[in-house]
Amino acid sequence: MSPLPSFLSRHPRHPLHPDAELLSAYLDDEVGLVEARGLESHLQTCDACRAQLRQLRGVVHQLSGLDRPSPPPWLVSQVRREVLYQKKESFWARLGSGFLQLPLATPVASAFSVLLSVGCLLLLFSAIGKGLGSGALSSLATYPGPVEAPKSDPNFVVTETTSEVAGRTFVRQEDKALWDYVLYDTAGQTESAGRERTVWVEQGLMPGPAPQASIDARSPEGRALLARYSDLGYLLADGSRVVMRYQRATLELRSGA
Amino acid sequence: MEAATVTTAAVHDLDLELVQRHRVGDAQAFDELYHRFDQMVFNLALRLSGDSEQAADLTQEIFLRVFRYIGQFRGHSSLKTWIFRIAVNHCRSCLGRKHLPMQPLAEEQADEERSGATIADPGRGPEELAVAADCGRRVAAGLCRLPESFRVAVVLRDLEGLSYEEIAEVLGVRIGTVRSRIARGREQLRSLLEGSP
Repeated sequence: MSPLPSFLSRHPRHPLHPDAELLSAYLDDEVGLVEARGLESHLQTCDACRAQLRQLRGVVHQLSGLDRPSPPPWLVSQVRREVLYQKKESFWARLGSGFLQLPLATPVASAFSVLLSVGCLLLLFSAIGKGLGSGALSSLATYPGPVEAPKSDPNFVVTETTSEVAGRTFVRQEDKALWDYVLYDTAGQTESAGRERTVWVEQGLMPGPAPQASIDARSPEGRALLARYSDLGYLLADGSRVVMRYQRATLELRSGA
Repeated sequence: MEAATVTTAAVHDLDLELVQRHRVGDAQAFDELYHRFDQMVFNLALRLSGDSEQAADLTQEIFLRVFRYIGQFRGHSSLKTWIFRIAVNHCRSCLGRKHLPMQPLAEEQADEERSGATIADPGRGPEELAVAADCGRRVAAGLCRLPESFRVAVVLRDLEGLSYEEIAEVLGVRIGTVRSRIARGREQLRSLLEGSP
């Protein structure tokens, strides 16, 4: 009687049959030539192992037949934007760390940099005072703010406006809830105070389910968010809402006004 | 064998060239890199999380990591296994905190597209498609019930088509361990599918 091939004698529970590990690797063509030949000759005479191999092949077939969906099409623009933002951040970080490595620690160099800064400021103030000053400052004082449609115009249409703050682009949209309210109100010839209110939606967000969280800007969470993205305050200033992505969730930030 | 070696070398050169182009700021290199691996990363995240929305978030975070650390890619492995390694580690660290989902096998999925559980074959009729969809749902749900280490190995092998050697590289384990995990994962899935209605 010839000795058993080594792979058949390794398994004490079924000393004459190959184990599932070998069958599985055989299906993947990941066994050596000698093992494969030995297994094939065993399979020719063993119905149980053939059935087991067939079942295993069925599982692999079902798995490999599972659909492979593509990621949502908007994801690419979101990733691109975040990567660009990351690049900008790392550029400033590199610049900052490079600056810190300059020999500013020595007292002479520090004093020199202070003198240089004061000199620059003096030059700047004198330039404003002489030439640019009166015109530029007075025009700033009378700066009318964003151009808005007259309230009395019933055909007033909000055109798409985008704003880039905190490294993200936000698209201005009508606040649907407010808009409905205004229409109902104007039928009664009443002008609503909340007519100009808008919602700023982060570009790339698809219209879909409601935001997972609504945060008041004055709450501790809202304040923490504004501390991180301080520019968002500009969008909230007129009572608008902001819908954005934050930590893998879509959230709404309310001004609380 | 020689042809396979030549192909592998060509892919490797393409990887290095793509990475180099991205390093010098070629904007097109970003698109090429993203579109070459986006489906692969998204599907891995989908099968590990079991939820398409979460998979989209994970995909975004994985690509951010890829682009953040791409300067460290030296070409010792293929770009594909390097990205898979980042993807698996990130999914594990994110999903591990909440435990990987364990769906009951018999439970009806409210939205099969949400978990990407259909089996694709456009040449079949509506009845066959319905049966296939049901089968796909059961397989995807079964996959979600496997222990995490088995599930990752099975997904990388049977859905993503990686060789045992590549899987060992991605997971940082020996080939024998990969072989064992795949076999045990498949065996458990077979028992789960047999036991489900």
